[in-house]
Amino acid sequence: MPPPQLAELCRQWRNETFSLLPWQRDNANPIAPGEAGGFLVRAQGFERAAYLKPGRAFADQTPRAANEKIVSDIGSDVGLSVPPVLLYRRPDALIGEEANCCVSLIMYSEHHNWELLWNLNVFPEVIRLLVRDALSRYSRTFALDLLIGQTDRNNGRNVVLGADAAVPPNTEFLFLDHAYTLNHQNRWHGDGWRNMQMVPVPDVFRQSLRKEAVLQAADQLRDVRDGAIRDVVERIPEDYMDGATKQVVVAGLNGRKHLLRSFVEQNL
Amino acid sequence: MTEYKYALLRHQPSLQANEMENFAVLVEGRLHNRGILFAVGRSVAPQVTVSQISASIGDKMMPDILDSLVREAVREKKPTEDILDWISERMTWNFSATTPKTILDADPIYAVAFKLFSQHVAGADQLLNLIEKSTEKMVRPPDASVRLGETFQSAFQVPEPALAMT
Repeated sequence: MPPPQLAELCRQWRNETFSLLPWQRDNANPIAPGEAGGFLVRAQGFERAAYLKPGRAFADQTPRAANEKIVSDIGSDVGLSVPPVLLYRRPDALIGEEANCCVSLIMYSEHHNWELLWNLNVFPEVIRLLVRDALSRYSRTFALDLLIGQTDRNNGRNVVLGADAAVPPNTEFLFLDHAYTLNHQNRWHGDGWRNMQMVPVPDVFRQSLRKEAVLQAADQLRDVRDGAIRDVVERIPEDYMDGATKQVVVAGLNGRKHLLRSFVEQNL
Repeated sequence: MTEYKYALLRHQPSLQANEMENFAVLVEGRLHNRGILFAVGRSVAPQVTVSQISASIGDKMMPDILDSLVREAVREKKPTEDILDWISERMTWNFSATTPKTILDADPIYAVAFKLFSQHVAGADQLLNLIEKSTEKMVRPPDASVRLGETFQSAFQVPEPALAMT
């Protein structure tokens, strides 16, 4: 769930498809490009930073930006810990860079890769309590990872702990990087979407999963209307995701949401 | 002359603003035919407002978190990568690392690390510049001392490929 002061902005980003703000790369910020070559951006007159991706153009046809937007919107509808995303056409993309991008809102003043916290024993008790409290709330988002077929969560960089010095209770794990989800490599084609797999996560987080909370979120995702999912996917422009892929993604999501509960019951 | 690779660790109190400070230097090189990562750093400036989490990560960066990262790097990095390349890629957001640079220096690794610390973290040259400028104007320097905070040094042995971390 977004912090209360951001709730309205998050709703706005969920409801819109594109950002029309004049985003500019923040050259002072050192965020190292990940696989997708993303970077921090700021827009004049807008108080928050965002993370733009993909920076690089890829030949593999993976609809990275579209996947990010779809997953963010579905997560938002069920109140899960995924930052708001808007598509963004980058006017200053150079050769070798991607113009059809997305921007992901930086919700907190601090982001810490979750791998910095994997060895919790070195931290004082107050921090261990804060992290465990955040962990106890993260189980619900695990259900979203199952739905979208996330296979890259056992990675120190694609979950961050968001924290805010001004509002200390605002501490949550945010799930990032959904480029390789949904119909990645056409795996959901035909009946392929029926193949549910357990999301690989680091041990410390697997141990903290609360089955009851995962099931609760699985039921919430199941109850998202078929039409709502179709709307989320179909509003993506063709140059971000082609029509045939959109059909596969809609069928996959609407089919998989009914498999979640039994999969969690049997495998978690 | 010996070739070294180094990166600076930086702390940005808030992602919503640009301000950041260097707080440590990591130097990768060899000492007596062993791979070594030598770190020199200081505590993150206490006057900046950060969350308890951030303050604690800054406090535990050396040696605990850095030690975890080095071990992880040894397990995960590609054969073509150096430890510093890997760490630099992983250190993002509020605690970040600069892209590693290569330098040649005749001194041993710890001396190189302290030289870089003096230059990039402690800002020792700026302190002397302050005196120099004040001397030119024949006035007493306003304040030519800066508290560095608690300082740390750590050395990590970097195993050769295919050898376990000791």
